[in-house]
Amino acid sequence: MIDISSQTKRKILKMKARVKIDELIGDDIRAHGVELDIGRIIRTWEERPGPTRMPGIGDLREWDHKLLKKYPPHYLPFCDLCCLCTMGKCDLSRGKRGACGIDMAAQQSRIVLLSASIGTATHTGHARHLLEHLVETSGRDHHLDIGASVNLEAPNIRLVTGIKPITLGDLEDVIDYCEKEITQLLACCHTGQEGNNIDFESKVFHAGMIDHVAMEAADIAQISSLNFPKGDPEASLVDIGIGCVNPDKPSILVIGHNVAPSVEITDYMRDHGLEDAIDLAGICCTALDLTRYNNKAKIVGPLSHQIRFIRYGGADVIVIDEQCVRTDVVIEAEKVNAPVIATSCKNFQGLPDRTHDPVDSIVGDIISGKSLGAAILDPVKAGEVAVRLATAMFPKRKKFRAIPDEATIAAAAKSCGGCDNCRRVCPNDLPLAEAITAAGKGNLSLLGELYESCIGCTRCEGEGVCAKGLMPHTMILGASRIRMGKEKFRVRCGRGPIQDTEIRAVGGPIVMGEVPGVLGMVGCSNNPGSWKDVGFIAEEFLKRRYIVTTSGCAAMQIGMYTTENGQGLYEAYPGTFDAGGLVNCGSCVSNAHISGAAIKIASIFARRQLNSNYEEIADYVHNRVGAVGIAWGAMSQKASSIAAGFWRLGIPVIVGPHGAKYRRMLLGRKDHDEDWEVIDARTGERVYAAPTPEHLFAVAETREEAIVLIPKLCMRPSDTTKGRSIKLNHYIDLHRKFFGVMPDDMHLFVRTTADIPVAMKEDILKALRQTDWKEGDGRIPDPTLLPRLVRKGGRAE
Amino acid sequence: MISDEPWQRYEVPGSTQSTVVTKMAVITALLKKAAHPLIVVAHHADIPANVTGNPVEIIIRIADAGKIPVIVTPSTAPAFRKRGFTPAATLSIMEIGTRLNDPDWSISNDHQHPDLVLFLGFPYSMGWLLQSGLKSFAPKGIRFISIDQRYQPHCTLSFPNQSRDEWITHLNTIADEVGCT
Repeated sequence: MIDISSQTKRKILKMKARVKIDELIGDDIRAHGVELDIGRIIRTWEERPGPTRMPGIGDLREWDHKLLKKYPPHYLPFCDLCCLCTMGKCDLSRGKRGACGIDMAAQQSRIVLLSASIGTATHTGHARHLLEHLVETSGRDHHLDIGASVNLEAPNIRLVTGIKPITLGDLEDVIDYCEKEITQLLACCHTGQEGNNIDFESKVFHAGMIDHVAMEAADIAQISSLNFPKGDPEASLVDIGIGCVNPDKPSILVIGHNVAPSVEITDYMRDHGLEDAIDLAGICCTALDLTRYNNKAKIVGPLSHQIRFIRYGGADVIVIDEQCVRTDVVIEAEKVNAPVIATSCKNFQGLPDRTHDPVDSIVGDIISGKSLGAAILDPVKAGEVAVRLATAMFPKRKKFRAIPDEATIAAAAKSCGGCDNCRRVCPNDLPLAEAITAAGKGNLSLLGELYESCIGCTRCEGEGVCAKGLMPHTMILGASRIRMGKEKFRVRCGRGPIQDTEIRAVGGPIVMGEVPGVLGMVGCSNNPGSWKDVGFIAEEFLKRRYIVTTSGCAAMQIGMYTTENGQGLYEAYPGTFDAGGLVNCGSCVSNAHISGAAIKIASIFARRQLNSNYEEIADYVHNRVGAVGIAWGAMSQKASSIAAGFWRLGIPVIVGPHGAKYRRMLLGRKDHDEDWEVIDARTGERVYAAPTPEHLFAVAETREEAIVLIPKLCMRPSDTTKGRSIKLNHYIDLHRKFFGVMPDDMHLFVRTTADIPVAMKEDILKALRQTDWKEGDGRIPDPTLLPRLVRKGGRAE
Repeated sequence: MISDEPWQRYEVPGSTQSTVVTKMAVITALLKKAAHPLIVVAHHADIPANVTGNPVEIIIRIADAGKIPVIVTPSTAPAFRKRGFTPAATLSIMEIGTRLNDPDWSISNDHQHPDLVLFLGFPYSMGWLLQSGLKSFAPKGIRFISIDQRYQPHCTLSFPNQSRDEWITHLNTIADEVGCT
């Protein structure tokens, strides 16, 4: 007899099953060793499935095309050529087509798709490896618990896959789906596949949607299994900055994104009473996730801090996992006699695989100098090796640095000829030669001033760049070494998801526009100027009581900014998802909680069906939820896939100047009235709703331009008069503050005089009279782009 | 100092790149010949004044002398307004790109789509990306000229890499000549 009733009672939507029957006896059958493989068991949960369960690459094409009609791609070819096949290189500029027939527009979108697919694959690969590890340590049946106040535990997963995950094992099905879609997306990039730019863009959106599903799977798996903060607005404040790492103790530096090895290092230290004896610090998202597990751990900084901290000599051993790790980390570590332990098969860095060797042997070989490090793919063993190496290397290394002192810099700088070759390879066009020339005359302050704007790429030290062999980046560090030792800030560690109760409280005010907007400040440290610009932007909106959510390197940079009175932003503002709250969700994969919050508003507040109902939810979010993503220092392919996930939900994203190198923007035309019609779901009529939001993907030239753009992109067709008035107030006020005058397009957003902020009424009316503005009838539509959502009695035109 | 390589060494253009222009008479002749010239200015134009002049002030002289409309980016607009000059429009760099790519767009009903566009004051990478897009997607026949301090490879014509003093001198020469009949 086969009893599977205990399984069917569980409300898991889909799972694979294998049934083994030792002996099967029936009226007409007697069999031994029968095995049945069942591809999927489909079960239901409380919500019926919608139209797009586990959508394929073409299933949401119609929705994508609606968005892309409003926000057509604007191309910025980063390269005129295509060099992806052996018929090329092909020049695609000025209307030419390649040997395969592709044109420039399709090629740019193809590369955007390739980038987004790489990003999605990276998060999915991370999720897969993390999940495999957590299944091994916690068991496939580990019950997912991400907080008592988080009943809607996986909004992205439920929305896209229809799966309501209950155990870690359920997430394997989710990742199976993601991997399948990534394969299809990558296939589209092959020569002779897709040829239409808009269809490529639709697939970019698909990659983004899948990315958020994978990120969500990764984060809820680690929150639950590793007992990270579970939507806790008061998650611990932890130390950040190079100066937080104690030079008088052995130290371990972890770099990357997969927290598993860092967890094992922590556990080994705890088990051996070494928690206070060794400093454990991290760079990039591994650091953020580590502090969610161990609040004594420290964050050195964002990825731009990698080389500066290594050369500073702060690490006695460096443990790398995956993503955003300097690919020259072993070379850099060798300069300061620090061994490197690689812990991911995605990132061996040329180190010998010692996974199956005894710990004593690995440690001995590295200490004796036989080896620069080792690859150890067993996180537990890597944890032990790292701790033992740190203890052994500390007295040996004596925190050896590869940073010169002031006198050495000044002496070397005298040879600078001022040719500007270093500047000409600097992504930020920093005036390096000018600063070095000044240093040669004894003034090192100009070099020191470049510290915050340098992204730490070291291109200025590349072979042959300086004819005199000067090392500009090293000189910047030398001029900043005292400051580096004092660099100490505080950051709130990642709280994970937004609680359902928080959504209930603010869902209404957000949709009505009374909370002026939700910002998602995310991304890397490829800033065009000082990292403090990220904190500067955040503070402006916190003061104005926007909800500021954040994650990853952006969350760190917000922490590395202080207000006028010297307070850190995480100390000055609460961590609640509420007006004026600064919400650090966590690492890169925690971005899914930001998109998830928007989805939850549609589900929890508006009670829209969630299960497999992507198009309707995205339509709701696009037309009602005043959210904007800001990735000021976006650098990576992951940043592009994260952005793409927001685009498909209709959430606009702003990037800093380097973001233009993603090679295409999605820009609306406010001068084209016909682009801004929505359907009023009550009547089916098409009504003009103004350019709200005006763009889906835009680059800002300066931080001030970004700040002024944010409130504008928070406007939505559904804003109540009170809500629109509040949003307009911020838009106009910020425009005045930074550009000195009222914006010349505000007449587009004032629907009736009731929308006008009271304090500015006279000025605005005066300005409106100088335009062709006409007062509307005051009806606020129930906006949708989907004719099928027109209610009974109404008829879509 | 004068050279015709992209200022950013790793910005390697494709098979076509801007012709270097060192004779200002060429630019003034093109400006005079153009039926619908336009100047586009971004915020690097507003750099502190020195002994030889400020680019914003020189652009205002060129615009006034040649009756040429000027579009500025939002961060650039205050520098023009404080000098009593009202730009024809304020648009972000990328919005300017969308408009220039659209053959049906013009600054106002009194104008037509520009047939000559001068660029100045662009952060280097944003300039090359915008101009790269225009090279491939703008209507045929428009001349794009970069009059920035650094050589930009994706226009029809571009100033070479030059010192700041040389740059200011060149801009002043255009301003002096463009108003002469």
